[in-house]
Amino acid sequence: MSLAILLAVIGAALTLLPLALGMPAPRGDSARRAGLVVAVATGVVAATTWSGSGGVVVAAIAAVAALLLHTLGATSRDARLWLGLAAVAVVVVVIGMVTGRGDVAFVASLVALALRVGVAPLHAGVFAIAERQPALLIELFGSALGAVVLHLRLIDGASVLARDVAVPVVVIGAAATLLGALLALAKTTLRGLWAASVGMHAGMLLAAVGAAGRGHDVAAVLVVVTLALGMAGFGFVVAALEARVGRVTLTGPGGRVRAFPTLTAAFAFFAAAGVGLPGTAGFIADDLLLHALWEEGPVAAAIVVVASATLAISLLRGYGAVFLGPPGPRTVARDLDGRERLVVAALVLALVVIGVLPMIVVGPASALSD
Amino acid sequence: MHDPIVPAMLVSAFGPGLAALVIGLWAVLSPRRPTEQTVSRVVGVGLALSLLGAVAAAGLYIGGHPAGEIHVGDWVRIGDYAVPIVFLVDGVTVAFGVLSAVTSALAARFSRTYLHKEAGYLRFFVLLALFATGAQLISFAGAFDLLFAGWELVGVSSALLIGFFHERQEPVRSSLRAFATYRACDVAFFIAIVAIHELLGTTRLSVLSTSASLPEWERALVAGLLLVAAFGKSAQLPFSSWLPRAMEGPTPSSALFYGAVSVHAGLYLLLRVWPLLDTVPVVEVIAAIVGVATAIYGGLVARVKTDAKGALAHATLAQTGLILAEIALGFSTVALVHIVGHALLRLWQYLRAPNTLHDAHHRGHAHHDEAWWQRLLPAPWSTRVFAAAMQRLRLDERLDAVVAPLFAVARALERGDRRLRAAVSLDEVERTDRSPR
Repeated sequence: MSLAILLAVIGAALTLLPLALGMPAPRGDSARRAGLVVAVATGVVAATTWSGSGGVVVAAIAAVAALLLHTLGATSRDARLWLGLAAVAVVVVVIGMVTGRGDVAFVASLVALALRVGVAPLHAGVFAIAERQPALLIELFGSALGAVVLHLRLIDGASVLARDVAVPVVVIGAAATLLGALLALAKTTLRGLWAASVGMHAGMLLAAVGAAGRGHDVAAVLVVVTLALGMAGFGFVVAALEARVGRVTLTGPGGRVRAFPTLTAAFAFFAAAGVGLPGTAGFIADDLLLHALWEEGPVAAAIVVVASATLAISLLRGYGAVFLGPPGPRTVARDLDGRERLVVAALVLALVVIGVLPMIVVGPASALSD
Repeated sequence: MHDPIVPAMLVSAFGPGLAALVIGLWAVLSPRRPTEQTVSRVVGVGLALSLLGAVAAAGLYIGGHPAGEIHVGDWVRIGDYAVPIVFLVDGVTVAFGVLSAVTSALAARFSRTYLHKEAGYLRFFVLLALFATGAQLISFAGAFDLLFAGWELVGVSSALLIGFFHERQEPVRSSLRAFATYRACDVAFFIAIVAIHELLGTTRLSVLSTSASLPEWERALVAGLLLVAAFGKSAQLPFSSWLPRAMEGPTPSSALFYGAVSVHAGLYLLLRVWPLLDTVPVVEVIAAIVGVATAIYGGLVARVKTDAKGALAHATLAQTGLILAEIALGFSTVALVHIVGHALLRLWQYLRAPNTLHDAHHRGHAHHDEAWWQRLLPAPWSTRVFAAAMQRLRLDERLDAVVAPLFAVARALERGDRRLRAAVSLDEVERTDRSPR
């Protein structure tokens, strides 16, 4: 039960996170967001606490609802297309469960997960959202938690298939991780860097989900929690900065640290947390993931380590290009306001608490897999 | 947990980190930034606790506390799988722990006045506190996971402090280069840790004493990976070029990181994993050769450098190279004494570096005779060696040439990815992007 509450709270909070950016919202957005919170919480609670196929079906229906609500908030046709495809895949999950075809539901869930978190080569949607509507991607991290727990539940109904495809899924995940990290190395905009970082973490998540097919479920839960908190924090900082100075390129030196010291510190923290800074959830998530991957193939584990190191270098390069250097042009924009600081502090605390005391997630997640 | 040495080690390791967290959250949550006095006091309390803890641990050990592992608990436990929190108590641990705590506290005290009214005062002290926690974790860790956590904290704080004077381009570039070297070598370390866990069943350092049971190639692989990690951290060839560039950071951090603690962390790691290295002669030979080569390289370049910190950096390389050779030849005690003596001497020399001109004025210019070995070299060779030393063997250029293809691949992938996404896009922006214009 505690895992359900924890994930539901994190999911709901991330769904509401874009509100702290203070951007003008279209009419009806409050109702959409309220529906999203309900769908996210319902999906997580049903997937984690309701045993039997009934819980899975309810969680899948909630996931479809969440994806449709995300689609309603999307401003680009690409976002609608890709989120719609993910919704269709989850509908197939529901049909598979209702008709007793666990294998079909498992495969459809894997595809839906890859579409919604942006695993290469199905990353076009997430990249488009990151580059055009960052607030929507932050929302999506909130509902991704439930999607992963739902997928872990589906493994029971397709245990043979899950075991058989574990290695190929891990290999695809590891390759997507490396691709994301290499793309990050060549990105020239801050949003692009964020999108590539998300792509890299999505690869890690797919690898973790693949390894979960052979019993490593806990790593997948911790990886998705880290992805959601770390990448949402990163995206929040990117959106907050661009709300002040417009589109940011990495051609630097940007020299923004004087004008935005707290934003700079927050960027550094979330970037570091995303690549496994000790004391944050990312460190322990990486550790668990690599041990899980090693058992499926040491090469995949090595690829993920190399990708993580490569992304770290890209992020430090981005940090230098955006914030360091001689002071940039004078700006009237202020550093993070009180509401934004509160959000940043809450995300920092969540990442640190889970990093220092990982058993608060690992314990209940182990119980779930038992 | 009833063992009194455990709270001493916990306080020593986590006191500075807690101070960093308090100051960091204060700065984020409060609209008014904490004053210099508040920052230095909070971090000072953390470092003082760290020093007290380290001295207490050393006192207990000298007073008869048995050497060995202390299992504090499990960071993570999932069935049979565990990431243990284990402290190690022995002469090497307490010596390195006290050394780290003393030098961190000294550097912090020096920085209070040295960095007065500096714009990044808060940033410096937060990073210094994180570094101190990392260094103590490295010192006291009895398991690789904990050691690696400290290792990473030291690396991140080190890279960010090299870029401390970020309004100039060179410190930022040097910071990135140092960080890239660290991360590249940390890849080897992380893979070695996972391999040790999977091959030997645990990440406790003590498990290495049973490593002789592994097949030879597995031992060689893990030992080689650990050696690469140590080379990166201690700036041994071919990874030496980041150390002189790291001098772009503030003098107190140069003194603490690259004179006293951080640069010796790789050597400390090798002392800890000696039971494994000792079973793989080829790795010992490689370590000895690299150590001697680094010592020669550092010694030669130090003689031609004309700036105080640059000369000190290369002199540091020369000594760390010798320490590496000592470890490789099995002289562990000599190496430990050498580490402690060298760290304290360099700390003092780096902290004195800004006063070099003042000192030279008072002492007068020393007359340097030609060294005996310089007279042995024929003149053309001497010129070549001089030129090579001046160019620092073009280490930077050679490493750049190694990583250049990676960037080319990344750019090609990015171009391909952009085209592919544009091809499947429904939005106007992407359509415009893919038009022939």
